[in-house]
Parts: sequence; structure tokens; C-alpha cells
Amino acid sequence: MSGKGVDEEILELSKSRDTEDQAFQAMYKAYAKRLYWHIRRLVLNHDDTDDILQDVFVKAWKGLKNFRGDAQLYTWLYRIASNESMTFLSKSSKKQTLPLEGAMVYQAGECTDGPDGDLILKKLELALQTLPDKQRLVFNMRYYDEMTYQQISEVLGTSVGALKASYHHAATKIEKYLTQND
Amino acid sequence: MPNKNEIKDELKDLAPMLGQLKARPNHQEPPDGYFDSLEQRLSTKLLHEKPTKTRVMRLWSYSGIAVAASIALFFLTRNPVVNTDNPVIEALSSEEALVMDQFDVLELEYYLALDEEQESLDVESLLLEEDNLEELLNI
Repeated sequence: MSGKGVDEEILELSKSRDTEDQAFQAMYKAYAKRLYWHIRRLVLNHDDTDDILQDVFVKAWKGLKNFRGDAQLYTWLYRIASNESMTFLSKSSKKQTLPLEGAMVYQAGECTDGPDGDLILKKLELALQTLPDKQRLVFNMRYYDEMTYQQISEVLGTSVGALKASYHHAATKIEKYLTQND
Repeated sequence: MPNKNEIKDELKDLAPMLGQLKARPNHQEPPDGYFDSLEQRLSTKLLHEKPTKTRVMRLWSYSGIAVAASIALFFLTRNPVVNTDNPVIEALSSEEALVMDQFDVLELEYYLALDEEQESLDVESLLLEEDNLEELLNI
């Protein structure tokens, strides 16, 4: 996670027109990759991720001047990215799935896509798609982004207790999927 | 950021296989050079967003100035000689010319609208008075 120092630097640079480009570059450097993966793990597709990530940065850039600093910049950016992704998923007419060829290869029990490690990871991806969107969001933030329950709570506005329950439920469900679908 | 071990320990009892998979690298990478090109695209996008408002505002103010100047020119070129049919016009034209110099088009439209409103209110009150008068006469 990015330190408070970087956030303060970004906010300071954003206050002046002369340095706002530097502020954008600093914000991009600090958060682009993390936000990319956060979005990608939700929407799965690179092109959709690219579109959403651009929207996130444009919104963040426009809102940065009014950002009060009552939350961490990281939390705020994550919130925008999560909201944009959830909106995309709910608007999307088709459920995001893996490409058909990949699914068929998996079901055939063969792996022509690479070593066995790829197969188990694809199985994990399939398992994640069985989760409701919000539950998958919580799972990703804990499992992949390694956020504390408190941080996730600040992003999503959900209680820590509810988040723990959600994550535990998701993890158990995925584990069952992985072990029973061998 | 929580201790990675904390999450690892959490998964040990909850979902051991999931815990083992955590260390595996992600096989879905974005295209080469993606993040560099994205930065460029975003910078261009945000740069184009900035001057748009200024450009529109400039266009509006140029248009406004052009229209105001045309109106001012129109009134200034009107014959300033006293019109014996309606001496009020002569007084109005010089005042209007002064007004044109001071106000821009938007403000002028605002005041004209107020005048129209006042005019319609005056007519309405006149009509009401007429009605009242008729009533009185009928009694």
C-alpha cells in the first residue's frame, strides 16, 4: 500500500496549476497497476478493464481538487474503481465468462494451454465467477489486494463483521469448488 | 497493509488449497507497454479536457461582444435628430446607446425580459381596473 507521504505529495502538487501535471503522474505511477488488477479481476476482460480504468482516472483527476483528505487517497481511488466496475458488471448484458475454448479444454480434463499451474488457476477463475459480484469484490480485495478488513470497510462502507463473514463464505465456496471438481 | 502471513494463516484452516494458490503468478498479463501507453493516452485526454471550457467561454464572449457591438452600432447610426412625431424616441436613443456601451448582450436580454414582464403586469392591472369599473357602473 502506498504510504501517506506519497498521498500528501500528490495532494500538494494538485493544488497548483503549475504542478498539477506532476500530481497526475505521481498518482498514476502510484496506483495505476493496482487499480488495473483490481478492475481486471472483476471484469476479466482487458479491453473492458482499459475503458473502466481510464474512466476511473478521469473521475479521480476531476475530483482530486475537491478531495478533502478525510479518507486515504488509496481508499478513495479504490472506491471509484469498485463503483465503476460494479456499475459495468450490472449494466453488462452478458455474464463475463472465460473464452469458450478455455472452458472446453478444462472440462475435457486436458491442458493444452500450458503447464498444470495454468489449469488450476483457470479453475480458480471459474470458481470466482460462481460468486455474486459483491462477494467476489470482497474476496479479491482480501485475497489478491491483501487489504485489511478495516480498509475494505472504508472502501465499501460495509461493517468489518459482515466483510469477514462474506470473505469466509467465499473462500469456503471456492475451496469446495477446487477440491470437488478435480 | 496487513502482514501477508495473517492472510496466509487465515486460509490455512479455512481453505488450504486456496492458500497454496495465492503464491502463484498471474498468467493474464496486459499487452506489452500497456501502462506506458495508457499514461500517454490519459495525459492527452485530460489535457484536451482542460482548454475546452476556456475555448467555449472565449467563443461566447467573442460572440457576445460582436452582438453587443452590432446593436450599439445600430442604435448609434440611427438618426439622432428630434422626431417631431414622437419626441420620446430621441431621448431614448441616446440613453439606449449609453446602455449598449455598458451592458453585454446577456445582461441586456435580462433587463428586456424584466421590462416585458412589467409591461404585461401593467396591462393586467389595467384590465382589472376596467373590470372593476364596469362592475361599479352596473351596480
